[in-house]
Amino acid sequence: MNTHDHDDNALPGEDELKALYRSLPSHEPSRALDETVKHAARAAAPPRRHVPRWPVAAASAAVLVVAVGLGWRMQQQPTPAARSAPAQAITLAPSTSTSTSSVATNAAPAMDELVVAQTHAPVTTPESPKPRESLRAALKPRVQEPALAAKSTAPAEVAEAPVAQEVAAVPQAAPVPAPAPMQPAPAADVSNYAGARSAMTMKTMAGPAARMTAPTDATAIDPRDTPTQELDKIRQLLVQQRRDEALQRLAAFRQAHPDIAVPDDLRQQLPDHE
Amino acid sequence: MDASVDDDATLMLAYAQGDAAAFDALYARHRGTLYRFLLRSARDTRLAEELFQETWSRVVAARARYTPQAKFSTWLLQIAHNLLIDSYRRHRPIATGEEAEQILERVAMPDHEQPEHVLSEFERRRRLQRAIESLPDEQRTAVLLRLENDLSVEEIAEVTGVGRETAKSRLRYAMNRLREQLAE
Repeated sequence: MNTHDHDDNALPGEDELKALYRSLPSHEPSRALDETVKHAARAAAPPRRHVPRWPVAAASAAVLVVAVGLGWRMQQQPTPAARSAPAQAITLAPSTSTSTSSVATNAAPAMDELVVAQTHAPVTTPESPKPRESLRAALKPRVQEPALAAKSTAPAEVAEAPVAQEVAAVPQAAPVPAPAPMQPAPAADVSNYAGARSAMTMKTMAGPAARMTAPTDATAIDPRDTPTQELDKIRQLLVQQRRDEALQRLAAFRQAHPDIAVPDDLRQQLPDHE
Repeated sequence: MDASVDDDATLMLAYAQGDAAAFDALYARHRGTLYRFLLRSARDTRLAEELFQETWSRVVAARARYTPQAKFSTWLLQIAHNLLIDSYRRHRPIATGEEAEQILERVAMPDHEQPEHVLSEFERRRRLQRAIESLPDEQRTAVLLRLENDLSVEEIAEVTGVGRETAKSRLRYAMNRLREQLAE
């Protein structure tokens, strides 16, 4: 963990102090404390999930079927030019095919007329066996792509995503408007910064109309804010003499980001506990 | 980030995925330095144990949102430092100089050392401990982060939430005071 640069190493007398410090007794946590911590960690660890492979295979097969079906349907759909032709096609062969089902069942005897009808109106002969086979052959390489894509994306879809990450992802995906001014909320609500952020997100997602009318407040909670931006907003609240709100936000911040040290100027604002 | 830092992050991420053994490995790496930092800062064994446990609890609780943006050790010490600051507010003053000294002196000396040598070493250690004890909180934290945890000035600034110059100034003052008291 020695990451000192030359400037750091220039501190006078440091080597001697370090050597003496290292001769101090090396206190260690007790075994009982070790066990307490490890036990808590084990209890909190999510069970390791072995994702079964069959859902991936099933999803791939389903995607394959859907892709083939769609491709087949699209192949069968008339082109814009052909859409205007059905009536013409029917009139071209009225005596040989009275319905599509009769064409399908009596395909061989009426093939000559059917070919004529196909060239004008492919939609009238969806049951024709020969085009289906050629279509299948034509679609084969095409349907492999979605199947492969499904394989590559399926594990990510089934993988367990932490709740906190989901919550954090929502505000980035959703467009956030100019936020509404902060109302002095009950302490229980505001003390949970993450809760406040997600509540804000819900509001913005649910109320596009409110978005239009909400006045801008430079100090309002914005889920997209970085921790530094949030701290700056807390400073602004203090400057604006909105101390209670600032302290609530600061407390919520420390709760939501225990790993981020609150700067001295803000930490000094925190009231003594108890 | 060096290799061990990457290892720490990898272990933490593995733990977040449910690998309890990864946590055990991570814990084994940092338990000693974290505990000593807290003990020498708090000067109270019971409080140090409480803060030690709470620090790890926060690590456990933060596993899902952990992203390896900073060194794991720095992040860990930040949490511990936040907790220390809070405890300073709650319990100031923590212990008198004599009480703290008694706590830190409850240590078995190595058997192989000669009596004269043990005595002089004991005296030097005692002086250092007393000198560290007498430092203001911020300076003591800075010097412990340096001597115990071997952090750079930038890392000390990061852990304590101050600017680099402030951290360096605190460290320099602390070092000077320690050297002065050792020289007396």
